[in-house]
Amino acid sequence: MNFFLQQLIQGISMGALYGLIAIGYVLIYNAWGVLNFAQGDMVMIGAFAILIAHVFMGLPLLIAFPVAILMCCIIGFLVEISAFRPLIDANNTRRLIATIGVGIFLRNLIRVVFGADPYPFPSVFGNTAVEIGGLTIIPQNIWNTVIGFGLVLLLSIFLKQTVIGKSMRATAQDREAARLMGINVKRNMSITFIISSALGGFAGMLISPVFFVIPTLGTLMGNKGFAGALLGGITSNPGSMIGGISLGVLESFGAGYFSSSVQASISFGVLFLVLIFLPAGLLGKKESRKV
Amino acid sequence: MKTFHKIYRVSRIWILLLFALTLPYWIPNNYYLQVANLGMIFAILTLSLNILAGYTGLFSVGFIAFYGIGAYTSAIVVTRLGWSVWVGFLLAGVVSSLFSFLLGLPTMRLRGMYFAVATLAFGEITYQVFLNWTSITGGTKGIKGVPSPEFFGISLRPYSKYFYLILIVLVIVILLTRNLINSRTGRAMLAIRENDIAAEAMGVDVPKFKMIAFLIATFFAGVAGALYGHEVRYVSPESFVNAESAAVLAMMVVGGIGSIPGSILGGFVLTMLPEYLRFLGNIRLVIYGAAIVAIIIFAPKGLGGLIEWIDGLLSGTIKRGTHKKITEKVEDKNGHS
Amino acid sequence: MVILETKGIGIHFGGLKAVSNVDFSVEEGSISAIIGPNGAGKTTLFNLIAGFYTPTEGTVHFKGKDITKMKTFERTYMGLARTFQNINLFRELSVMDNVLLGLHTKTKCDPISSMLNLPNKLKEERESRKKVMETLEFLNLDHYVNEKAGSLAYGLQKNLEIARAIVSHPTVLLLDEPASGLNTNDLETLSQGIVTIRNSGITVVLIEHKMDVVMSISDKIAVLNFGEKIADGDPGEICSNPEVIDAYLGKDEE
Ligand SMILES: Nc1ncnc2c1ncn2[C@@H]1O[C@H](COP(=O)(O)OP(=O)(O)OP(=O)(O)O)[C@@H](O)[C@H]1O
Ligand SMILES: [Mg+2]
Repeated sequence: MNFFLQQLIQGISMGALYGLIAIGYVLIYNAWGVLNFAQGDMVMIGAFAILIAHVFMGLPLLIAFPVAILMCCIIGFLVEISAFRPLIDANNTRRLIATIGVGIFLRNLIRVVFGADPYPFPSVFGNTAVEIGGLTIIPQNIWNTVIGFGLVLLLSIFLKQTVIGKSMRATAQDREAARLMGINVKRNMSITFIISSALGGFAGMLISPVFFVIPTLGTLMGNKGFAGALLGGITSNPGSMIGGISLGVLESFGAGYFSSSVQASISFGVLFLVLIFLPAGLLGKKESRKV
Repeated sequence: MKTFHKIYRVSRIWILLLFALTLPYWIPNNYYLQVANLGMIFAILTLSLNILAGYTGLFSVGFIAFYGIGAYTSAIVVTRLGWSVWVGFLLAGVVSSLFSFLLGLPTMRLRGMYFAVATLAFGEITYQVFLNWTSITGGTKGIKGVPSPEFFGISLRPYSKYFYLILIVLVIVILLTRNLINSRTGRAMLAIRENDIAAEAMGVDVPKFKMIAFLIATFFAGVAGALYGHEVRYVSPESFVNAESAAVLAMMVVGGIGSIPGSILGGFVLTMLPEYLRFLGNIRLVIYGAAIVAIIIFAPKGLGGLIEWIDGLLSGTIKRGTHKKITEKVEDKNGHS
Repeated sequence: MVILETKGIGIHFGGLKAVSNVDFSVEEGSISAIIGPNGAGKTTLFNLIAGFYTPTEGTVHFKGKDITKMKTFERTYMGLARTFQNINLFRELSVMDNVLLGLHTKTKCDPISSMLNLPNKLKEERESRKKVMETLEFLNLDHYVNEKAGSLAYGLQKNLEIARAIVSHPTVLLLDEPASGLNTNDLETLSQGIVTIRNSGITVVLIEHKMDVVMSISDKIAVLNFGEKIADGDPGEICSNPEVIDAYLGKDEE
């Protein structure tokens, strides 16, 4: 039983990060109608940003974190304005290819600058495990979960309560109508990309003590985030958090009860199973097409 | 001027063919000849991705997997089972199509985006299988000593001879693709890309024709993979990593989505160019990424668009004035719903 | 003989009853019209008949068969063709290719012979192209055969949609607002064209707001309002039906 709970906690804490990545996909998908194949690479950018700020520049964590987030936002904004904005009304094919191109660009740019070798990242939350009722909980688990859920909560408050958030939701629902209503669609698109980049970046920062920081981190994490988003129904923010956590828990049980090689293939397995049996995901609406 | 256009129209194909046939004599350096061969193999691969993505509008992100499956299939049946290389080529296409069939079954009903993701995952899984199924694929070490084909006792091992084999396959693939596009099947594929709702209204069984496109494309990709394996005589996982899928996508986009000459040019140029720009090293892929984005924004027709334009000028099919019959600006079809 | 019929058909989107409990039947060889104010559910009824939407209630019958569960493309194979209100052409393809696609159900060349240019394919292509040219001439589109569909003027695009739908000589043709956006001169041509199409043996169902077109060529008219059928009959009956006048004709025409 203890082992079960231990794996559950581990799974939830990883899953919270997958959820963050998944929400990045969903926000952009809803606003733009296309999957952002560069979303995983924003996770990688986040990991490198905190590496630069904390390890290379030696900033203390409390300063390094905001600096790194700022870097992610700026990069997200630059990508949006240079690669995606010119295609705002282009067909899906062109937009999809653009996101793939951006991913290739970012991944390899980082590889050229930092090399392909992994960088270790210090465990920033400390290694002293807390014992609660026979369960060993490392601070990383707690922080992942707290920050993950905290950000999702903040996001939903932002989207539901603020003027900008409301207009973003309107833009996501019907871009043409939003434009007619005088909503600044371009600005909202930028904000959407910045938020998604920041969320991806956050996940990358939290993940860096667990994984090595490496240019291909984005591909790995992108796949997991995507599987989570798909499981959650691709259009729903809470759905993708649930999807991400389910995936994290499944992975953790897979690793715990079988082997760690099982863990690696779980996200792919989930992906295919959802595609086959549950294309609308757990919380997604069945897409009704308009003729 | 009229006679010039006429001469051009009649002679262009022969000039092109003459150029292709004599290419090995233009490139005496064995190393660059090998690169040229590789360029043509990638031209075939790009053309097959184009059938899927350019004509049918189905984006496959892990397309290199089918090329890899082809390369491994042929290498395995030839080196382990001792089958003829020619059988290997054919089987490469068949096995590659077989996998696409299995992957297509659950995904063809779904929207294109899901298909893209499924192929991405499939690419990752395939790579892992190449890497880890050591007893069959040789793991990281790969399969060495993949033999060159022989043609009536003549070994095609020298690059200058293998060149012609690739050229023949390339020409066949070009002709088959062209015929396909000008047929009921090809038009159904184009219709799916353009407007799947209207395609259905025309009676097109959309999942079925997506599947046909997928099968044809992956067959060619598999054959291209086998051509590759028997050219370099060595097959190993690192030739089929994700970055290679990215490169093929770049070839298609730079060449021009939906253009046959563009695909060939894209495959060829993007294979040759890095060899001449070796000093760039890893920057190659950075440039590919940027080039994909830039071309998709500024010149979505790519090199193929340019070629077709020049061709149109030379052959006199583009004349000023005739093109602009259109006066009224047409509202976008999504304007009203 | 009734060729096409809906029985108690309906669909709701969330809370909105776009179409509810509609009985609608079409006589073979007739021209039937569906009229009604904006948002009455006319296009939705077409989408239900053509199979783009799955009804939440009721059934569709075509040629005496219950086709409610059939896919759209299967209905097209049975001889049901349509045009769209918001033009759905293959914009990047030529006029020729667009209309050739209209012959999809009438051709059967397989992918292999297509790629190999076998005689059966070449013959089929030749015959198809000939048929397309005839249809294009009928609709005065033959000059544009190599133009891209998306580059044509609006009126020509509407014609092209009709060409694409009739080239296969379907049993029933559904026209969704063929007259919208046309000027008065073209209206007369359109009306005559529709009659010619009917005389060639194609049953026509049209949705239309332009009353002069509807009244002059329709054999029967059904009136929808808020998703329900409020009346049907010949043009004379519809003109004098007080409920119809109240719901529709009384208001300004579009
Ligand atoms: N896919 C859909 N999802 C949600 N609502 C829909 C959908 N299709 C149609 N509707 C709604 O159903 C109602 C009927 O629409 P429909 O297009 O059938 O009207 P119409 O009679 O054709 O009107 P018009 O004369 O303007 O073309 C409208 O309120 C429309 O918004
Ligand atoms: Mg309508």
